[in-house]
Amino acid sequence: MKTSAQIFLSYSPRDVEKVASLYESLISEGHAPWMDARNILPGENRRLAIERAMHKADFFIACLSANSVDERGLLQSQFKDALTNLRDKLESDIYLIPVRFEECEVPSYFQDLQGADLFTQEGPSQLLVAIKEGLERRKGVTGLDAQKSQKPEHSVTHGRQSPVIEIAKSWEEREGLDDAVIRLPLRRSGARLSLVVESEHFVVHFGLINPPTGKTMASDGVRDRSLVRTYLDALERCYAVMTSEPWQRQPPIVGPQGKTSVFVVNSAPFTATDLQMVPYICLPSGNNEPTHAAELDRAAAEAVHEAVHVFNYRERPFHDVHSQAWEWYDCALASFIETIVLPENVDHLRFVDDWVRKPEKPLDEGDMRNQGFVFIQYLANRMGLDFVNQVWTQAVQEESPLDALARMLPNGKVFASPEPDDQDIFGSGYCVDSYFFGDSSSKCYMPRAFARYGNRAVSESVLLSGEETKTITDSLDHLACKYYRLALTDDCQKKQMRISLRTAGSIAPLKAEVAVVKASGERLFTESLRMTDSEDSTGGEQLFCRLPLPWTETAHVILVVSNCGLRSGMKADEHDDNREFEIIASVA
Amino acid sequence: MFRILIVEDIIGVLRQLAEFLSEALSESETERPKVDTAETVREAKNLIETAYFNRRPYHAVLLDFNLPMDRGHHPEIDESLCLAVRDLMPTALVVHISAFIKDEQIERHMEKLHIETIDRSFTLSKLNVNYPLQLVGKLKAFLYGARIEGQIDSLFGWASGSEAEGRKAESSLRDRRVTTHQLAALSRDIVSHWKDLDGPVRERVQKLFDVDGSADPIRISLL
Repeated sequence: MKTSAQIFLSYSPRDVEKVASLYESLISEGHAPWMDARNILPGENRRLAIERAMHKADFFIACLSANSVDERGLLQSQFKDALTNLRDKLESDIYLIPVRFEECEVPSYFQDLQGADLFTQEGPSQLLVAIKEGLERRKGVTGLDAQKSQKPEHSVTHGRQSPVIEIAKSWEEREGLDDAVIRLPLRRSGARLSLVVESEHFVVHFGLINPPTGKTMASDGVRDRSLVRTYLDALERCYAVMTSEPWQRQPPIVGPQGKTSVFVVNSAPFTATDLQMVPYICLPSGNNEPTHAAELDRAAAEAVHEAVHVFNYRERPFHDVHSQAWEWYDCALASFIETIVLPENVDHLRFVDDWVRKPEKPLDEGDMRNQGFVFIQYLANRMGLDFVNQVWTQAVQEESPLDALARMLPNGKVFASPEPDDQDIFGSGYCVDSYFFGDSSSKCYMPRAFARYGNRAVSESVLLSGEETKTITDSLDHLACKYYRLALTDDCQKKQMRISLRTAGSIAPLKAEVAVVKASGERLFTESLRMTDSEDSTGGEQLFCRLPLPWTETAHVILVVSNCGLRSGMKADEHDDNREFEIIASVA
Repeated sequence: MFRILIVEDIIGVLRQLAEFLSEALSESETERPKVDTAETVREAKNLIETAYFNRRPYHAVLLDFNLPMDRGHHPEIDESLCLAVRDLMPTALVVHISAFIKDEQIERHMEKLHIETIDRSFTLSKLNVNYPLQLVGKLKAFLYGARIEGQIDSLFGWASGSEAEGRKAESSLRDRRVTTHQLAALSRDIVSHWKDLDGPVRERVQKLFDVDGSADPIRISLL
């Protein structure tokens, strides 16, 4: 367990001496406090240094005194940033601690937080206990988000628990090497990548926008070496994770130099192969994130993502025709591993926006490859990381990921099934749980993502009163789902909801479940719609559910319609896409 | 998946050609071209309009020049189908297959309609016994070439297009982490169909990639 905490001290400059004393006592307790007066070096960019320190801190101590209460500007803005960070934490987390040096007013926005009064006898020890307890509560972090409190069935081991790689200390830079030339389309400047840095497993070729001599590298050049250092550090971290438990991957295929080549140029990040079919990585010479810290976070995430492709290449070379069906799993896995190697990095959240907006997109669709990381997270939480890994490493050549998933699941578990009694991984599992990704009981639980993006898109919301029956007509593609929100008008006294799903022909591969949702957004219970004889004469089939509702607790009902068919219309004439259905809902 | 329309009033020829193309242009068991057939101008127009409205235009349209307007009608020279394809799906390849390839009217039609899109149309004579093989060769060169060029434009458009287009393509690519597989798909396509590609497409590929033609299959790399 981590026993040393990184602590950001936010204070009024007029209290610097009192804060320095706190700083010293925290060091003597084995912690790593940070205060600008001690930790910013001459010449360093103050704003960036503070931003980075706040980002890294386990705790934020708001130092309060008569001085701080009167202080405007930077201090108040730091306090507010800390409150914003606090919103991303679990309710049980200890993060922001108001500390008073003297009797003074506590700002109203800290009213809900228990403080520590350092001018009292027990105050200092209370602060240390709070830090210790805060660390203790985070020790069992599981799942994608570091703040998850409830341990899922099979927990995902966090990168935080892997050995810390201080690669940045050991890299070496040399000049004058340019043994490989990236062709024109990726290099508009025409200048050479004249700088090389090496770590244990990677060799990075790069140039500077403004080299000391010679032509400008323009868009191919990096602004400063911190980007390259970030790339190298992230690549080595990924290497360490991928070659250790539970992944235990073989080292990547390399050329004569024994390391994976990385080229930093003006391009999107990608992995490709040279003429000897050895994979290499291209990473961008910069990105357009608005702050330096965000630029480096994104750079680290992109480096990890491509490094995973290099590892994955060993089992499924890109040029192999059988690899095509695995593209979505490869990308989804790479995005998922970003969250394991870089647990504090939130760059992967950029994929959540599309995932939230488009639940109707098939899991294996090309445009949603990276968004599939949520499915991989679900699978890891339900079946374990080993399983997720084995699907990649142990599938036979002709299998698609869907074939491999179906084959490798243990007895009694099924990947996708429209049978109401089958608690399949896809329909009853992932599709339902992914609606509740803000609920800690969901195996898709992502509190930071939920705080940022909110609920997944609902195809239609319907308000039911006692009198009418509502009908919705819609269609759905394979391996996708749609959500329908059913709520009652305030004056409705009825206690039972009737929901049916009808199709003109066979109901399969469609499946439907209803989840009763509490006002807090948590799931109360879930019920499957079951087959009945169709009431009409069209010869179609019907799923039906009569739902007694505990109205005191129920905010609304979510109907989850999933398509458990695996066949894509993009590939074959006989497919499971565009399955039409009709929903009929009423109260009784 | 390629979409092809064949319009031919001799039903035996129509079926044979459809089966032959479906087989010859299939890339795997699940990736076969979708071959639609029509025996009359009216049927063909319906299919063309449906494809247009469903935003699934044909990649190639094979037309007999002498076609009946409707079932039971006598065949007559028809230009309206070609005009409809040109209008609704300008990027489609139009192949005229006729027993009367030297017919003046056909020559006039080719001159009038295809003069500026010569690479997107050609004629084949039914009297040549090898015409199905010639047809497949030309279709492969066109279809694979167009698909490969489309991928190149999407990945490297900025390298050959205008500066403004370049910046647009570059920034959209930078926001995505999918280039690895886009590039892999392009490489697979080039390697699989290198022998089918015509000169200009090969030249374009060689400007972007190092091509090792001594290996079988060929190997390509950006390095």
